[in-house]
Amino acid sequence: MFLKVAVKSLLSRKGSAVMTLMAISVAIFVLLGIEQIRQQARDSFASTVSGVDLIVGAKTGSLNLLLYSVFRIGSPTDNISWQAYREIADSDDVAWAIPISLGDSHEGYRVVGTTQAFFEHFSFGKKRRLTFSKGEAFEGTFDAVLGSEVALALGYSVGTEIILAHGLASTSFTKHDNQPFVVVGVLAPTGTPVDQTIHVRLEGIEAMHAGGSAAPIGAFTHASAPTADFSEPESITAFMLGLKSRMSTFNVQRQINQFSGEPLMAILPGVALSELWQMMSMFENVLRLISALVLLAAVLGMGAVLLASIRERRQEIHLLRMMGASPFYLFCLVEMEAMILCLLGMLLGGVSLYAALFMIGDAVFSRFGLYLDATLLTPEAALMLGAVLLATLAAAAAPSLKMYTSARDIS
Amino acid sequence: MIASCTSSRSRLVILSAAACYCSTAWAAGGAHEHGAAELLLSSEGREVQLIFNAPAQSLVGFETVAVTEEQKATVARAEAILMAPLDLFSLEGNSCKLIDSTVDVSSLVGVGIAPSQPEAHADHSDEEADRATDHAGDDEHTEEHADHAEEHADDHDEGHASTSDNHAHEHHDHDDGDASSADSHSDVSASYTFECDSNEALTRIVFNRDGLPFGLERIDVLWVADWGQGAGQATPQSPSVNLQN
Repeated sequence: MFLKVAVKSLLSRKGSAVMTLMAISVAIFVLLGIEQIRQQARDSFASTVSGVDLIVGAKTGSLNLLLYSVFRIGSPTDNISWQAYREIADSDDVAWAIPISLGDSHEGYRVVGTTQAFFEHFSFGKKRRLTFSKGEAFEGTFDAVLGSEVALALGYSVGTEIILAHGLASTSFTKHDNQPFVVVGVLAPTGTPVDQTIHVRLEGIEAMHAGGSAAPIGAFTHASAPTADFSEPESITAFMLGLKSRMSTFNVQRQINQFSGEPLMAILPGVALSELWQMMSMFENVLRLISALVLLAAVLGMGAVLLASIRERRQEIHLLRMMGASPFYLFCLVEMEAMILCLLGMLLGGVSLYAALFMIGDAVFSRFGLYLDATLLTPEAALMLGAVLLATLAAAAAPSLKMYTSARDIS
Repeated sequence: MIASCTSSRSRLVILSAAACYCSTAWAAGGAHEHGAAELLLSSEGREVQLIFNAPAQSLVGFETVAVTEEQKATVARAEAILMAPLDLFSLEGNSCKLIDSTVDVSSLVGVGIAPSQPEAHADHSDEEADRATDHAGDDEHTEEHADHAEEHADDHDEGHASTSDNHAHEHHDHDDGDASSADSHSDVSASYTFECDSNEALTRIVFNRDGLPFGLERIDVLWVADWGQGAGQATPQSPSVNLQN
């Protein structure tokens, strides 16, 4: 009965009710959207490095090393020698090592030189291993394995021949024209930057840079080109380490940081990420503040609309009073209307955010490597919605009081 | 994260801008910063190991070998505090019992070599005089600080600075040869081993004393575990660190 009166009353003022509803749902959309993206960005970054104990590179900032080695953001400061890599990778505490050589590209996608170890040991998310959707890992020098996104975007499949360029632009002038690589495998989607990467053997990178003049072109055009012709690379960009025991992580890190051969730096990827989030927390808080203010404006707007409506509702008040409704009943009626508007706004905002995430999720992922999952009701979000409801009640108190006093005056 | 709403180029700019303003760099065995300590927590299966490293200055108020009775007493007191980790912090999320604890104050109780302490440390006097006033928070050590600084200040006036070179060398000798040996500062470290009831992830570490032990201004907690890696800062205002991402 109570609810029915409130709904009917709102319906009688459709125009202003709908506008208010829109304002609130937009505010909810922004609030939840920002929370969602923030949370997902964290999860996405964390899942990318979940299986790696240490990342080693040239001495630089720990964030810089993390960002260029794993997320392909920014550029490497320096290379490290193959000898240093071997020395550390062969030490007792190390279970596996994945070397990474950056610096080349294909159609704007990064080319990473690595070894078989990458497919065997790299894991993401909750200890998930890389799997192939097509083909298999590289074996020959000029074999390439594509991330799922690369294959999809460029329409490549197993058997496609690709030309890799030195540098990063898709229009790089120094294309290594004479040495096409052959796609031998496509990885299943991972939701990490791996999806946007072309993986080749370290020898492939070396051979590509050694220049075609040294060998007849024909020798390289087939995937089964001999691998033994190329010696070990002189240097690599960075490498990831998996340790035999977690307990030795800090020890190994310190040993590498004090490595006598050359200045090296080992970082704990999870710790570097914590650093990143700590720095980003200021930006995040600003965003949250803005979305909270947007919401506040919407809620206050609703209060104002309700307040203005009281004047027009003299007759309604009269009628309800005559039917025996107490002033308190009328107070609650207005609060109820506010709640209805707010809840509908949440529903509308939530649904449209869900739809938006569903639609743009793929685009965001392919552009930013950010995997947006459309799960909305996290505990934080629920908490926020609770706060919104309270704010609504508070903002509606003014019109409700006005209703109360005018109802009392009438009797 | 805002970055995702902008183009990839501006994401780069934002991130690198952020990197420049980085005030916290966490690295094991890193900087020797007075007033700050680090706690390295590693966990595998049911075993949890914690290593606590702090500049001697922050724990006892001096970084030389303890000579006077008072200094020796201070070192003993610090050692006793460190030997009782259960009073220092508690681990939440799992019930773990202490198996082993070792405290290494070798840099303060040097074996055999006993440099004539006050003169030898003359080069530090100004710094330490400043420090002494900064660290007034901890009653236990304030006296130490003040006395110590005064001594040094006097010596400094008398121009004993030339002996400081000798001292630096000696200092190296009785360092225990790990990370700290690279600089002339000395560190105190302690390591604790816990065994927990199950493999369950720890959720939090809480420092029990009012604020932080030894009146530290900051403890950087770095953790590596089966459930992930991360870092956090404990300060006197919020003396706990989450061990979850």
